[in-house]
Amino acid sequence: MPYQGYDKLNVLVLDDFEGFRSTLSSMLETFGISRVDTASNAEDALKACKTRYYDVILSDYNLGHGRTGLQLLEELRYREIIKQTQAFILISAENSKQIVLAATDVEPDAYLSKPITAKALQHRLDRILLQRRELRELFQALDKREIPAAIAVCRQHIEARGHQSSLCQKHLGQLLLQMGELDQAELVYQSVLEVRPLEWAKLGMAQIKCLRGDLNTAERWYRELITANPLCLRAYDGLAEVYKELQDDENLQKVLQDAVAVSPLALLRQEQLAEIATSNCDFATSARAYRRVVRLADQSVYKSPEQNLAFARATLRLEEQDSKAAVELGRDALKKLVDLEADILDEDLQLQAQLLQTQLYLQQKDSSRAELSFEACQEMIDQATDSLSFEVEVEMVKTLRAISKEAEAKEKLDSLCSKYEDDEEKLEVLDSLLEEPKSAKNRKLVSRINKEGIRHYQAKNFVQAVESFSYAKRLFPNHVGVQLNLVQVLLAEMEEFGCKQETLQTIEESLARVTHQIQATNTQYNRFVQLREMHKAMVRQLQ
Amino acid sequence: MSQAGQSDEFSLILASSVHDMKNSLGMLLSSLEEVVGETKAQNERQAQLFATLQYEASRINGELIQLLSIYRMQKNRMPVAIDEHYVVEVLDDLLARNESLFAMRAVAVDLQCDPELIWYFDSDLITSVVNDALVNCSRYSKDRVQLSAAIVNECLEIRVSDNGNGYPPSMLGVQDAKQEPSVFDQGRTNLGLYFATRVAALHTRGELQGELRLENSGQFGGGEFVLTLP
Repeated sequence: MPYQGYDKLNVLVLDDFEGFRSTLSSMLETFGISRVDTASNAEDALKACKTRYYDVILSDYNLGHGRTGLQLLEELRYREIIKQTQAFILISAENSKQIVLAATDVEPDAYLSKPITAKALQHRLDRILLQRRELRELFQALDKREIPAAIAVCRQHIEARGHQSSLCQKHLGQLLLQMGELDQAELVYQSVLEVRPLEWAKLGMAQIKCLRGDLNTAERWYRELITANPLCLRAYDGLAEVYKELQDDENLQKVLQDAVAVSPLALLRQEQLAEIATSNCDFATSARAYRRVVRLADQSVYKSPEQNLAFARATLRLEEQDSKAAVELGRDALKKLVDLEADILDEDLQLQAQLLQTQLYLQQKDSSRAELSFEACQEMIDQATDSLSFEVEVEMVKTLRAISKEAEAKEKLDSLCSKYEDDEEKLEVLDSLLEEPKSAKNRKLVSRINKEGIRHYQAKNFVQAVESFSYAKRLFPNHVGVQLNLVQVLLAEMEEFGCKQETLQTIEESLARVTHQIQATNTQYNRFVQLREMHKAMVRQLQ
Repeated sequence: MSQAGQSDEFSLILASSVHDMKNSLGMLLSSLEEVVGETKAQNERQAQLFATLQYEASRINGELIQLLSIYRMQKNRMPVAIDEHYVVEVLDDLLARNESLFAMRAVAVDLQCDPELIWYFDSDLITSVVNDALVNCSRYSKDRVQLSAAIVNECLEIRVSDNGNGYPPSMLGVQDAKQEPSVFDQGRTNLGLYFATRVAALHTRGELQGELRLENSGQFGGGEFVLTLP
C-alpha cells in the first residue's frame, strides 16, 4: 500500500559521497517529498536535526573520517535530539544487517543495503511511514515515557490483530519488564514461543529468569542463545548481568571480553570490561581496554576525562606485571593526558592528571620532564582552594614513591589509613599500596588465598600452590608474606622437578621487591634471608 | 607459515576485497540505473546493450554477496537471524529492486501472495537467494516470470516460475545440501545454487529442514525454482 502524504515530509540525506547524496535526493524528490536536505558528515547532520524536525533521516553507515552513521544515531538518541516518531534509516553496502548492527549497540528503525533503486526505496519508505502512522500513539507515549499508556496501545493493537502486532509484542514484553510485571511479561513471551522459538522472545524469558533469581537457568539460556547466534549482543549483556548477580568477576570479565570481540565499537561495554579487569588486577586487559575506550570516546557522547585518568592508572599498575607492555601503553596514555590538559576544567581532576603525568614521565625514563611536572603539581597544591580529595592523596602517595621519596610517601599513606580507618571502601583502594591489606574484605581474601596456597603446598600440588600465590601477588603486590610464600613454593618446586630459568627470574623479581621494602625488624626478616640464600645456592648450582 | 595458514590469509584478503568490489559495484549499478533512466534507448541494439549491462552487473553483485556469505558460513560467522516477516513485503522489495532489469528485457513479472501471509526466516539470506533466482530468470525466461508464495504442508513455499526452456535435466530435483559446489560445470560455478541450498538448509523447525527444488514445465512451461522453508 503506498503512503499518502509525501508532500508534507522533511527528509535528511547523509552521505560523505556527493554522488550518492545527489542520487538519493533526486529519487526522493520524484516521490514528491517537500523538503530534502543533505549533509556530508555527522556534525552537520547533528546541527540540521537540532534546527528542523525530519520525518525521515537516511544515513550511510560509512561517513568517511569521523563518526559512523550508527555513532551519529547514538548521539541523536542519547541527547534526545530526535524522537521515536522520527525514522532513522541506515544504509550500508554490507548485505547482512546483523553484521553491521553487531558492531555497536544502537539499532536504526530500518536498514537498507546497497545498491538502492528508486522503486525499492519507495517501497521501504511506504512501509516505514505507514508503520509510524499506525503506531503513532505508541511512539508518542514512548517519547513521553508514559509506560502504562504505551502498554495499553500495544495490547489494543495486538488484540485487534493489527499489521504491526509482532513489533508491538516486542515492545510490550520489554515495557512490562520495566514495570516489574514479570508474570505478565512471561505470558507475552510464552505466547510467541508457542508458535516459534524466536530469539527475542527467548531473551525475554532469560531476562525474567534472571530477575526472579534463577540465575543458573538464566545463565544456561543465555549461553544457548550465544551458541546459536554469536552476534547476539543482548545475550552477552544478559549473561554479564547474571555474573554480576553471582559476583563471579572472573566469568564477568570473560563474557565481556567475548562481547567486545563481537562489538568492538560499543564504548560502554568496552568501559565495563576495563573496569572489571582493573578490579581483577588484570592490567594487561584493562590497560588495553581503556586505550580503546579513550579512542572511541573521542567520537562519542560518553567522553569524559576520567577515562584518560583510568587509562593512565592501568598502564602504571601494569608495570608490576609486564613492564615492556606498560612502557608501550604508557607512552600512549601520557600523550592522551597531555592532549587533554586544556579540556579538564575541574581543579581536582587537573591535579590528578598532573600527578599521573609525573609518574608516566618516570615510566618513560624522562626524569627531567617528570621533575617539571612534579613542580607543577606542587604549585597546584599550593594554590588549591579546597582541601585535597582522597583520589588526589592516593595519587600523591604513588607519585612520591615513583620519585623515591619513600619516607614522605609512607607518612602520607599512614595518615590516610588512620583518617579512613572506618571507611571500608577507601581502605580497599589503599590496600593496593599497603604491605598488608587493612579493609575487612581484602584481609579475608588474602588470608583465604594464602591458606589455600599453603594447603596445596603441603600436599605438594606445586602447580596449584603457585597459582594461588601468583594470584595473591597480583592482588597485593606489596604483601611481603605473599611474595615470600611464592618464592618458597617456587624453590620447592625446582628442588623437586629441576631448575628453570624463567622461574629463577620470577623469584629474583619477588626478592628484589621485598629487599626494597623489608627492614631487619620485620618478623619475616629471617625467613627472607634464608630464602635469599637458597636462591643464591640454586643459581650457583646452575653455573 | 603453514599452507593452511596461507590459504586462511588468502581467504581473508579475498573476503575483504570482495567487500570493496561490492561497494564499487553498488555505485556502478545506481549510476547505471540513472543513465538508463535519463537516456532513452535509440534503437533495439542499444536497448539490448543496456539490458546486458544491467544483467551482468546484477549478476556480479549477487555472486559477490554469495561469496562473502559462504566465506562467513565456513568461518562459522554467518549469523542466521530468524524473525517474523510479512512474506509479501520481502517479495515486493525484490521485484522493486529488479524492476528496471525486467523492463529492459521486456519480461512481464507478477506476484502472487496473500498480503497477510506471515512466515519465519532470515530475510537477508532469503532475499539474496530469491534475488539470484530472479536475475537468472530475467535472462532465461521468454517474456514472463511469476513470483509466488503460499503455505504447503505447513511450510512456506516460494516459487519463481518462468516460460523459458527450463533447467538442464542434470540439475532437476531436490538439491543435496551436503554436496560441495561443482567447479566450472559448463563454464559456470553453480555457486548460486550451492548457496541457495545451504541457506535453505539453515532454516529448520523441529525435524524439518528447508530445501531447494528445481522443476521443469511448471505452470508457464518453463523452469521453476522452489524454495521450501519450514
